[in-house]
Amino acid sequence: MTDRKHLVETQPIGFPADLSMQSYVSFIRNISLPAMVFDERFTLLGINGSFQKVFQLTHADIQARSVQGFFGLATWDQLRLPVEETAQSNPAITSPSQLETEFERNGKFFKLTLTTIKNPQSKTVGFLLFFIDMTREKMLEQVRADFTSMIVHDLRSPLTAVMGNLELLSAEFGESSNPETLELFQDSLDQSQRLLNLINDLLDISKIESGKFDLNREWVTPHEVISYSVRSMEPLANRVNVTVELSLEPDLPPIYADKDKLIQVLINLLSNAIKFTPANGLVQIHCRKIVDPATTTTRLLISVSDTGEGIKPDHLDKLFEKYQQVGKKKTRLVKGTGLGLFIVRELVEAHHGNVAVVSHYGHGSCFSLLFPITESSTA
Amino acid sequence: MKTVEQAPELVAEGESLLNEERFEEAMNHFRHCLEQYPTDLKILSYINLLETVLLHRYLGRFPLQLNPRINPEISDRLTQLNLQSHEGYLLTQIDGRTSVKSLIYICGLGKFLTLRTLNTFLDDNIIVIAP
Repeated sequence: MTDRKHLVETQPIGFPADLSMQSYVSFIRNISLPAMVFDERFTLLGINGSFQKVFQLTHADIQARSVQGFFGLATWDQLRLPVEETAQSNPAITSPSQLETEFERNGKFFKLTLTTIKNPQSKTVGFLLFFIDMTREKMLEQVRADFTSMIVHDLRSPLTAVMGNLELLSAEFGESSNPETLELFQDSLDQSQRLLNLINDLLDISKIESGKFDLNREWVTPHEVISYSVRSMEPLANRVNVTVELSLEPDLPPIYADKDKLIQVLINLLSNAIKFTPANGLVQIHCRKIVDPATTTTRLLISVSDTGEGIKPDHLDKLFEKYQQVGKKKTRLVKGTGLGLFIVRELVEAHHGNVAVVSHYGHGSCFSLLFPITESSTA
Repeated sequence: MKTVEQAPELVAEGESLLNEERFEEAMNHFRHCLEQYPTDLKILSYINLLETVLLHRYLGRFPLQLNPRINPEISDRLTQLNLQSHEGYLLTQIDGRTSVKSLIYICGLGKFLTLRTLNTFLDDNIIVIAP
């Protein structure tokens, strides 16, 4: 199996420019990574001992079955074509300095790094190819994928069913029950919700860290996502007697974004604001266009500000890191995973946006998001 | 993009006003900074934070159902007041029968500006809000 990805250009390796090709063949002999040296026409000049040991092949074996036969046509093309395409499209430009692709052999996964060797006149005279064993990383990635799947199917689905049943029971028997029973229902629902939030956060983190976070972008009206988010948080705000106010500029333009992710971000910020604002406090969502007069670029600003306890200045810097809790208050309402703001930042940055927070300890905080408005061309 | 990171003393000055709980002045200061750094997220955030803190205070001072009225002691000096256009317009709507909530709706200045203006009127003894 080969997979054309991670084809990137990176910094050239730091060899002296005037080494002969034979020097490179000698050089790779002392390297513990499997390695090959080619001339500028991709003719194999040499392999090293590590290559021989890992692949159980000698230089003569490779030549007997051809280099292309060893790699397979697809992988071989991935290595050669970018170099050749560059040379054909503009011969004045030298080959990319370094290219990466993946390669699988005998159950082992390798990252292939092709480095261009140039002479003092910057002409390509050959290539060095290194094989970096990524088998362990691949295995870990598989473990992560299995874990994610387990969380979804074995934890989240039953928990969702339990919560649904609790809500039904609460609706059916709640009114006729005594206050203690009602409190038990509410407590069970709260704790289940907390567990569900934790599971969802872990799933998001897993997707973010494995690079599998897909955005389903569409044109989204800010009013729509803000109204939906506020409606979702109304029950919590009512319970703790916090007022949520909207301050939206009229005629806000749509933004090209993943609606669900945007709602997730806003609900996270609103939920934090409501939880950390004392009774009779105020939470406000501001939304307006911001125009940069220098570039005439227009952006969309969404802020969630509150009259809560605020955040101490020395905690602000770490706020968007994983497992950081906003404040230290340990009430039932305020317990969280410490993952929410990390996810918020990742989601906002995935939309090419920025996030910032300011706070005045004892008086309140404001989390702001700034999104580009026209982004379809870069999506 | 021009950011206030290039002028940290501006933020420090605003934060100092915040620490002294001079919220109105802090708001004016950050609005002034915004003229120089119109897309700076930190300044925009401070302005929004201050708007929320001040709005919360105004709402505490002006229960929405109360009807402000012109202070009878200054009614003969009304024409001498040096008012901005939105202040003058709001003042013409204050009749002792219109509630704060209705004023917000009628004037179209937005909740924050309406309450901020009423707050200034109250501080300057132009209106009274006794029930």
